[in-house]
Amino acid sequence: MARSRARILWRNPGNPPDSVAGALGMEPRHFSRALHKIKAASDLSGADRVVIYSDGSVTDEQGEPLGNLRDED
Amino acid sequence: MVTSAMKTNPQTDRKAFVTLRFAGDDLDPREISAILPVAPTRAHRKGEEFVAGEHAGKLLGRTGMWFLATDKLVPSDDLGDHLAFVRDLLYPALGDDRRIKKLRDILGRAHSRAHITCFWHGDAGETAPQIPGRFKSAIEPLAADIDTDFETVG
Repeated sequence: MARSRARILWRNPGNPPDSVAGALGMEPRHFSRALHKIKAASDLSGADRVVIYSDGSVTDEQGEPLGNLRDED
Repeated sequence: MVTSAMKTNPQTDRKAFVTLRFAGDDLDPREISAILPVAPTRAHRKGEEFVAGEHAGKLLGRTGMWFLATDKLVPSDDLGDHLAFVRDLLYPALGDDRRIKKLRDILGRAHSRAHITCFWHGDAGETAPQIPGRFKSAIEPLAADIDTDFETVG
Protein backbone atom coordinates (compact mmCIF):
# COMPACT_ATOMS: atom_id res chain seq x y z
CA MET A 1 0.00 0.00 0.00
CA ALA A 2 1.31 3.45 -0.89
CA ARG A 3 1.15 5.41 2.30
CA SER A 4 4.02 7.80 1.79
CA ARG A 5 1.96 10.98 2.02
CA ALA A 6 -0.75 9.71 4.32
CA ARG A 7 -0.88 11.11 7.83
CA ILE A 8 -1.93 9.35 10.99
CA LEU A 9 -5.50 10.09 12.09
CA TRP A 10 -5.74 7.66 14.98
CA ARG A 11 -3.43 5.33 16.89
CA ASN A 12 -5.28 4.24 20.02
CA PRO A 13 -7.18 1.19 21.21
CA GLY A 14 -10.96 1.05 21.05
CA ASN A 15 -13.38 2.92 18.83
CA PRO A 16 -12.17 6.21 17.29
CA PRO A 17 -14.34 9.32 17.62
CA ASP A 18 -16.61 10.43 14.77
CA SER A 19 -14.05 13.09 13.82
CA VAL A 20 -11.83 10.35 12.36
CA ALA A 21 -14.68 9.15 10.16
CA GLY A 22 -15.30 12.77 9.17
CA ALA A 23 -11.66 13.26 8.21
CA LEU A 24 -12.02 10.32 5.84
CA GLY A 25 -15.33 11.59 4.48
CA MET A 26 -17.13 8.53 5.78
CA GLU A 27 -20.47 8.26 7.55
CA PRO A 28 -19.72 7.25 11.19
CA ARG A 29 -21.65 3.98 11.18
CA HIS A 30 -20.14 2.94 7.86
CA PHE A 31 -16.69 3.78 9.23
CA SER A 32 -17.29 1.81 12.46
CA ARG A 33 -18.57 -1.17 10.55
CA ALA A 34 -15.56 -1.13 8.23
CA LEU A 35 -13.10 -0.88 11.10
CA HIS A 36 -14.86 -3.67 13.00
CA LYS A 37 -14.56 -5.95 9.97
CA ILE A 38 -10.91 -5.15 9.37
CA LYS A 39 -10.02 -5.86 12.99
CA ALA A 40 -12.02 -9.08 13.12
CA ALA A 41 -10.59 -10.31 9.81
CA SER A 42 -7.12 -9.62 11.21
CA ASP A 43 -7.81 -11.70 14.34
CA LEU A 44 -7.83 -8.59 16.52
CA SER A 45 -10.37 -7.66 19.17
CA GLY A 46 -12.15 -4.34 19.36
CA ALA A 47 -9.88 -3.29 22.20
CA ASP A 48 -6.69 -3.82 20.18
CA ARG A 49 -4.78 -0.75 19.08
CA VAL A 50 -4.61 0.04 15.37
CA VAL A 51 -3.29 2.96 13.34
CA ILE A 52 -5.58 4.69 10.87
CA TYR A 53 -4.15 6.84 8.08
CA SER A 54 -5.67 9.64 6.04
CA ASP A 55 -5.82 7.43 2.95
CA GLY A 56 -8.05 4.96 4.79
CA SER A 57 -5.38 2.36 5.36
CA VAL A 58 -5.19 0.57 8.68
CA THR A 59 -2.14 -1.06 10.24
CA ASP A 60 -1.38 -2.75 13.52
CA GLU A 61 0.91 -1.13 16.08
CA GLN A 62 3.98 -2.45 14.28
CA GLY A 63 2.91 -0.93 10.98
CA GLU A 64 1.81 -4.19 9.40
CA PRO A 65 -1.02 -3.47 6.91
CA LEU A 66 -4.43 -4.88 7.85
CA GLY A 67 -6.67 -3.37 5.17
CA ASN A 68 -8.22 -0.17 3.93
CA LEU A 69 -11.46 1.30 5.23
CA ARG A 70 -12.42 2.37 1.71
CA ASP A 71 -12.55 -1.26 0.62
CA GLU A 72 -15.27 -2.14 3.10
CA ASP A 73 -18.69 -1.40 1.60
CA MET B 1 -39.84 4.65 18.94
CA VAL B 2 -37.34 3.08 16.62
CA THR B 3 -37.57 -0.64 15.97
CA SER B 4 -35.42 -3.07 14.08
CA ALA B 5 -38.11 -3.19 11.43
CA MET B 6 -37.39 0.46 10.58
CA LYS B 7 -34.55 -0.10 8.18
CA THR B 8 -31.93 2.50 7.52
CA ASN B 9 -30.24 2.12 4.18
CA PRO B 10 -29.50 -1.21 2.61
CA GLN B 11 -26.24 -3.09 3.01
CA THR B 12 -24.03 0.00 2.99
CA ASP B 13 -25.56 1.20 6.24
CA ARG B 14 -26.32 -2.09 7.95
CA LYS B 15 -26.48 -1.38 11.66
CA ALA B 16 -26.00 -4.97 12.81
CA PHE B 17 -23.98 -7.95 11.69
CA VAL B 18 -21.99 -10.84 13.07
CA THR B 19 -18.58 -12.18 12.17
CA LEU B 20 -17.41 -15.74 12.62
CA ARG B 21 -13.79 -16.62 12.32
CA PHE B 22 -11.51 -19.57 12.80
CA ALA B 23 -7.89 -18.56 13.24
CA GLY B 24 -4.58 -20.17 14.03
CA ASP B 25 -1.10 -20.46 12.62
CA ASP B 26 -1.64 -24.06 11.51
CA LEU B 27 -5.15 -23.57 10.17
CA ASP B 28 -5.88 -24.50 6.57
CA PRO B 29 -9.10 -22.62 5.74
CA ARG B 30 -9.96 -25.16 3.05
CA GLU B 31 -10.75 -27.62 5.83
CA ILE B 32 -13.35 -25.21 7.23
CA SER B 33 -14.79 -24.58 3.78
CA ALA B 34 -15.19 -28.32 3.35
CA ILE B 35 -17.62 -28.27 6.29
CA LEU B 36 -19.45 -24.94 6.09
CA PRO B 37 -21.44 -24.41 2.87
CA VAL B 38 -20.84 -20.69 2.51
CA ALA B 39 -18.11 -18.71 0.80
CA PRO B 40 -15.94 -16.99 3.41
CA THR B 41 -15.45 -13.25 3.27
CA ARG B 42 -11.71 -13.83 3.63
CA ALA B 43 -9.65 -16.99 3.83
CA HIS B 44 -5.91 -17.57 3.76
CA ARG B 45 -3.16 -19.57 5.38
CA LYS B 46 -0.44 -17.99 7.47
CA GLY B 47 2.06 -16.26 5.19
CA GLU B 48 -0.18 -16.63 2.16
CA GLU B 49 -0.70 -13.61 -0.07
CA PHE B 50 -4.31 -12.52 -0.58
CA VAL B 51 -6.13 -9.55 -2.08
CA ALA B 52 -7.66 -7.48 0.73
CA GLY B 53 -9.34 -5.01 -1.60
CA GLU B 54 -8.82 -2.47 -4.35
CA HIS B 55 -7.18 0.06 -2.03
CA ALA B 56 -5.41 -2.32 0.33
CA GLY B 57 -4.05 -4.48 -2.47
CA LYS B 58 -2.24 -7.70 -1.64
CA LEU B 59 -1.46 -8.51 1.97
CA LEU B 60 0.21 -11.41 3.72
CA GLY B 61 -1.82 -13.60 6.03
CA ARG B 62 -0.79 -12.90 9.63
CA THR B 63 -2.19 -16.26 10.67
CA GLY B 64 -4.37 -18.95 9.14
CA MET B 65 -7.87 -17.50 8.74
CA TRP B 66 -11.39 -18.44 7.71
CA PHE B 67 -13.51 -15.32 8.18
CA LEU B 68 -17.18 -14.68 7.51
CA ALA B 69 -19.15 -11.42 7.91
CA THR B 70 -22.91 -11.70 7.68
CA ASP B 71 -23.72 -8.16 6.52
CA LYS B 72 -23.85 -9.13 2.85
CA LEU B 73 -25.73 -12.35 3.56
CA VAL B 74 -28.50 -11.37 5.96
CA PRO B 75 -30.74 -8.48 4.84
CA SER B 76 -31.69 -7.35 8.32
CA ASP B 77 -30.73 -4.77 10.93
CA ASP B 78 -31.80 -7.14 13.69
CA LEU B 79 -28.76 -8.71 15.35
CA GLY B 80 -30.87 -11.75 16.20
CA ASP B 81 -31.29 -12.54 12.51
CA HIS B 82 -27.52 -12.50 12.02
CA LEU B 83 -26.94 -14.71 15.05
CA ALA B 84 -29.59 -17.11 13.77
CA PHE B 85 -27.79 -17.30 10.42
CA VAL B 86 -24.55 -18.33 12.17
CA ARG B 87 -26.37 -20.81 14.39
CA ASP B 88 -28.08 -22.40 11.38
CA LEU B 89 -24.75 -22.55 9.59
CA LEU B 90 -23.27 -24.50 12.48
CA TYR B 91 -26.39 -26.60 13.10
CA PRO B 92 -28.19 -27.21 9.78
CA ALA B 93 -30.98 -29.06 11.61
CA LEU B 94 -32.12 -29.38 15.19
CA GLY B 95 -29.80 -31.77 16.99
CA ASP B 96 -27.45 -32.14 14.01
CA ASP B 97 -24.07 -31.39 15.56
CA ARG B 98 -21.93 -33.08 12.92
CA ARG B 99 -20.50 -29.80 11.65
CA ILE B 100 -19.68 -28.64 15.15
CA LYS B 101 -17.87 -31.89 15.90
CA LYS B 102 -15.85 -31.70 12.70
CA LEU B 103 -14.97 -28.07 13.34
CA ARG B 104 -13.90 -28.87 16.89
CA ASP B 105 -11.64 -31.63 15.60
CA ILE B 106 -9.99 -29.30 13.10
CA LEU B 107 -9.51 -26.56 15.67
CA GLY B 108 -7.90 -29.05 18.04
CA ARG B 109 -5.56 -30.44 15.40
CA ALA B 110 -4.61 -27.00 14.08
CA HIS B 111 -4.28 -25.43 17.52
CA SER B 112 -6.77 -22.81 16.38
CA ARG B 113 -9.62 -20.86 17.95
CA ALA B 114 -13.13 -19.81 17.03
CA HIS B 115 -14.25 -16.22 17.58
CA ILE B 116 -17.54 -14.44 17.12
CA THR B 117 -18.01 -10.69 17.02
CA CYS B 118 -21.30 -8.83 17.14
CA PHE B 119 -21.65 -5.34 15.70
CA TRP B 120 -24.66 -3.23 16.55
CA HIS B 121 -24.67 0.53 16.23
CA GLY B 122 -28.23 1.60 16.87
CA ASP B 123 -29.89 4.95 16.69
CA ALA B 124 -30.30 7.23 19.68
CA GLY B 125 -32.90 5.89 22.08
CA GLU B 126 -32.63 2.30 20.93
CA THR B 127 -31.78 -0.40 23.44
CA ALA B 128 -28.77 -2.57 22.69
CA PRO B 129 -29.65 -6.18 21.89
CA GLN B 130 -28.85 -9.17 24.07
CA ILE B 131 -26.98 -12.26 22.95
CA PRO B 132 -29.54 -15.05 23.47
CA GLY B 133 -28.55 -17.76 25.91
CA ARG B 134 -29.57 -20.32 23.31
CA PHE B 135 -26.92 -18.95 20.95
CA LYS B 136 -24.25 -19.02 23.65
CA SER B 137 -25.12 -22.63 24.39
CA ALA B 138 -24.99 -23.52 20.72
CA ILE B 139 -21.43 -22.29 20.29
CA GLU B 140 -20.18 -23.64 23.60
CA PRO B 141 -18.66 -26.78 22.02
CA LEU B 142 -16.40 -24.54 19.94
CA ALA B 143 -15.21 -22.61 23.02
CA ALA B 144 -15.66 -19.50 20.93
CA ASP B 145 -15.37 -16.11 22.57
CA ILE B 146 -17.89 -13.39 21.76
CA ASP B 147 -16.71 -9.81 21.27
CA THR B 148 -19.46 -7.17 21.20
CA ASP B 149 -19.29 -3.71 19.66
CA PHE B 150 -22.55 -2.09 20.73
CA GLU B 151 -23.14 1.65 20.51
CA THR B 152 -25.88 4.10 19.87
CA VAL B 153 -25.22 6.94 17.48
CA GLY B 154 -26.77 10.32 16.99
